[in-house]
Amino acid sequence: MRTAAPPRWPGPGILVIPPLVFVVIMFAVPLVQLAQLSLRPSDAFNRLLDGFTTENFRRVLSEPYFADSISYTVVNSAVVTLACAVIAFPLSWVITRTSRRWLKVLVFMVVISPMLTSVVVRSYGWRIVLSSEGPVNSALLGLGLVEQPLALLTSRAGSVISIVHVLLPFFVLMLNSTLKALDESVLRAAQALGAGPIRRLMQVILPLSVPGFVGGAIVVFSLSMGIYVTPLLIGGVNQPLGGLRVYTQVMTSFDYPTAAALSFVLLAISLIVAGLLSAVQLVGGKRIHG
Amino acid sequence: MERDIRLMPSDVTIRNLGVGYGEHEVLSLDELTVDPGEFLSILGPSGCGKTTLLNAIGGFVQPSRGTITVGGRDITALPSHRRGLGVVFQNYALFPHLSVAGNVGYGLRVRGDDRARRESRVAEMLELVGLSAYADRRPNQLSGGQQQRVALARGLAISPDVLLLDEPLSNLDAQLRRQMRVELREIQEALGTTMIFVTHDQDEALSMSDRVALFHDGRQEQIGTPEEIYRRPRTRFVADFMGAANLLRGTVVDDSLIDVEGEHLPVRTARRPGTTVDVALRREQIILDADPAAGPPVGVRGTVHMRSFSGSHWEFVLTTTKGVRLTAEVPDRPGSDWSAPEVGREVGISWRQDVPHVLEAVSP
Repeated sequence: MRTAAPPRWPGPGILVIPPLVFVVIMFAVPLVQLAQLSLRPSDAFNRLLDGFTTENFRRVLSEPYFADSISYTVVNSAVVTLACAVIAFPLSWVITRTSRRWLKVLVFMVVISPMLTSVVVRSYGWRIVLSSEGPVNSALLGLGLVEQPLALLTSRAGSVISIVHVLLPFFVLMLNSTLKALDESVLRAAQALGAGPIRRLMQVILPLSVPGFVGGAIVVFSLSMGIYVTPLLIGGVNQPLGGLRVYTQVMTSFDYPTAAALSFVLLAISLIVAGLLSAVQLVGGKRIHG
Repeated sequence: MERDIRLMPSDVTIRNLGVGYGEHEVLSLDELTVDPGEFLSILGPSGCGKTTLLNAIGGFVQPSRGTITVGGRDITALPSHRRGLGVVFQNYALFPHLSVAGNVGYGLRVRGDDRARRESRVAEMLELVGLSAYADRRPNQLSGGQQQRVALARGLAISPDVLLLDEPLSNLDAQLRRQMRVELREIQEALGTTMIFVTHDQDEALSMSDRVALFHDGRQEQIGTPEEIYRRPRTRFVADFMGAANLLRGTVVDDSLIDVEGEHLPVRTARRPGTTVDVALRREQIILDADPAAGPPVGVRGTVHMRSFSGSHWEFVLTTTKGVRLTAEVPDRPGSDWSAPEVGREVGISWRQDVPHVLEAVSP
């Protein structure tokens, strides 16, 4: 004879509720409010009015001050992502596959050090390095390569370099998981079949690392589309970066609706790029994992 | 057809090989010769150096001393990709991003064979392993056994001088493993390729090999045909590893008796009286005199200490009058008037006088 079933435990799925609530409150709610804000009209003194308008988006997409910053930011993010990919791969390779423990730890610490230093310390460090009296310019002048110190701080190169430095750890961490999972015996099999180092890299290692590159690219591109603190501290507020334009609209013009609209355009571009990259991986991954 | 894919097999000669240094030397091998077209198994427990030896031949670890020659060519200093050896790994190690045909043809592509040649060779190899219908599949769409066949075809496609196999059957289930043993041996005979097969499974080594080299602690303990290794183990370790349940240490009394703990056991030996010897006696070689077909009366008396039934056999743990413990295995005979002696029962224990094997070496 069976007794009545005890009350059913709803299962471990219930544990997902608190983090879900947290994410909804901290992320989804402000996002919805921002969306509403981006569609509100405002008067000449940037006071919010009731109603609904697409004017903010029209401004953001047509006025060169905003529109040029969008294209500038996309190109910047693409360059940053590419640079991170190229730099991250050898670093990640050493971290995941060297048998020398000290080297592994050393490289890992160097790579994630930007994440462990405050943005102020890191950025002023870059200011010193890139300033007109800094070591880079002194070296260039001393070698006679340039006659005048280069304006590295406000240059595009300066901003790309500093953003790459900040975002590199994300790419390396994404790549690490893929490279760690790469089966040594697959590489040995390729080697035994006659593949030298270059072939192994091009025909085996890189194709099998695609998920790591895609993951790294999504994260770095998205972060780079919205970055503003580091470029603000290094090159100043006048660089045509989307994040800085949003910052200026909020902090100096108090033009919240336009800032919100620009944020949304940047976010939309990030999402589209992330979607395209995921699609690449899905198609490629299907071929590998069926 | 078969003549086309046969090739001149190569021999392998390893001399004075060492991997690692000093106390950390994980492999030390004076000499090992593999004949052309031979199927040699490297057998031993994990950590015995068998995989290290395979890695040294394959070029995946650099030996600290010694030479490896394949077909008269010294390959010791060559990187792996210039050695021209086929390798099959325990976990198949297929390229997940390539099709079955892409995997099998990879070595040919690297070599620069043209498309037509590649395709015909791939088709030939897939036919050899019975996977012609799977050419366009991805490795992850195949079962373990099929994946291992692809790996085999891939290793053989480049017509390697030698095929190295690192526990290739260990990840397969028991039934498939047995079937693959036969298939692998058939393929080996069809192609005539020299194969070096690493395994920890003595059944596998015995049933497949022309010769077996047994390794222990980074050294070769014995090499010989499966019969030699099984019937005439040279050391205690080999006897034990090959499943000899009774390893007895004793002193030679005369040419037909040895003294083990005061018990005089009938063992034929040419050793001088007084010599300390180790004797291996397999459990199935022991005859109990409850057995109607009992052998000649050359045995000792003892009692049944424990018994267990395994279906086709009875296993007995016996204690002789002087306290020597022996394990015996006797086939069950349902329907006959024989019945297994119970625990505590006194029995006669005997064996044919020439079957106990006196080991050549006495281990410390």
